[in-house]
Amino acid sequence: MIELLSLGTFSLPKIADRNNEDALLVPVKKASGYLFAIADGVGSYDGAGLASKAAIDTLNSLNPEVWDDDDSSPFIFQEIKRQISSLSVIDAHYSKAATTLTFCHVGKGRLRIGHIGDCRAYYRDGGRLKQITEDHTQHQRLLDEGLYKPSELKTLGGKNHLYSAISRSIDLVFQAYTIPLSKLCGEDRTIDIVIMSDGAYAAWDHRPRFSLGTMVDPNRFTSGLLRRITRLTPSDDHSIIAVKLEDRLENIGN
Amino acid sequence: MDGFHGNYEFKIVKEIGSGTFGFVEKIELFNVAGNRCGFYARKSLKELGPELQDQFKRRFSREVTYQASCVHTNIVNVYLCNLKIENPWFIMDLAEADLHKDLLSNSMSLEQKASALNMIFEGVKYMHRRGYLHRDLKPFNVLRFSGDIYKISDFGLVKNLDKERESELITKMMDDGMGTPYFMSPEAKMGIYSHQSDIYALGLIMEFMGISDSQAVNKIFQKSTMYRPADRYSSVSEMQSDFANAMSEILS
Repeated sequence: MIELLSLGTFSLPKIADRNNEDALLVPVKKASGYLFAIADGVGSYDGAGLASKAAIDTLNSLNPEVWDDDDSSPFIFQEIKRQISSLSVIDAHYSKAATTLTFCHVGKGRLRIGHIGDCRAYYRDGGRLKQITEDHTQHQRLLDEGLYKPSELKTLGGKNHLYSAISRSIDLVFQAYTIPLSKLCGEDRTIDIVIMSDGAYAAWDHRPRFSLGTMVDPNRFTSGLLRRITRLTPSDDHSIIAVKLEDRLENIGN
Repeated sequence: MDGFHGNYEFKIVKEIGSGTFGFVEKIELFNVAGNRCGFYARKSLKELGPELQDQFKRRFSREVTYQASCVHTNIVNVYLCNLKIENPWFIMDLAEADLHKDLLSNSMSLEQKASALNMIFEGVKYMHRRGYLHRDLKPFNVLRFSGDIYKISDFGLVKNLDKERESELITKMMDDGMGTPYFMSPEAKMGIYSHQSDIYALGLIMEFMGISDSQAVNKIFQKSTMYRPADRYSSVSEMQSDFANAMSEILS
């Protein structure tokens, strides 16, 4: 049985009083576990904020049974795409509306992730965060193809260019991960999972560490990161969900 | 007369070329006093339909602005333009032929090919100095004028590097690579362009011209078309310098 122990979160626009095109789903009980997610509207196109909100609303409204079915990711993403496509019926300007989405469902002895775009899911391993998802960005693809080294990409444009997102106008290319909780649990049977949008991890990447006391506490972690983002000046809308869960069933079993 | 603009008027002689988005006509140009200025080429944007017209009008306008700002012996000059109408056009020098045709005719000597390539180097060097990338370098876009002067043409895909930096922080979907596949570098096919992607195209032009047979020139071809951009020449000047050394070795 999965228990939610602690939660830290924020979702803020790049500039105060401007629209925030990120949308988030704080942990909610779905089937055997907890579901949480961040969607980041693709900023160059009209309806970006509506698309991210539609993704989160659809995710939250699906039949709870889908969350225990690890083969349901194609259905989930198709459903969200259908909702985003329907935005263009409201207004033709939204025909290119697009969003990224990363969701995590922790239950049934595993962490399940559905991912499209450039939000990131991490888990805590001791005093470090380890990235689970792969960015669907032009830069990541250039690295994968061996065309550029990370140091060479620093001066290259196109950092924020995505090759995949949920949109009426492009094919769905998503990734689904299933990781046994036994691989993620600390000695105390707790699991720390973090999802960040690009505006948040831009500041995290700046210096990817906090003290161990901050790393193990989702509230201190999010507060520390928000202070850092404010100090560095936000590069984009910035959202984070940091959760600490306990795998109690495993605990009892041991 | 078939049209006028400012103090000039022109007669259309015939259509001499056509592509997906535009067409080129040979025209005869006169000033208002009726004095003949000569034959020129007029490139016009085609009627593309309501969805595409605005987008391609902007692109056409950018093409004219960038090309007109490049005043160089080895870049085709723009003399007149009208960008405020539904099917904008511009007037440029009328070429005798293009490098593609010249190469296919097998009429060029090694010295003539080397000279043409040097002129292309000069034109691209100038563009890079101005902060532009051509992004569609190929023999078809290199035109020949009187006196065997070769000039770079077709600025339809030219990119201003500074503008790219301005919009870098906007999250957007990746553009597909644009250009002519044979002359496109691996990263250009993924939508990434740099001086090195133009250098890659120059290497392939060199290969297409049939002057990379000698070992010295073949080395230049290989270096300019390396898979990783960082392994290619860092500038056109560096490539040109190696080419000059190789040619003096071959011709001596």
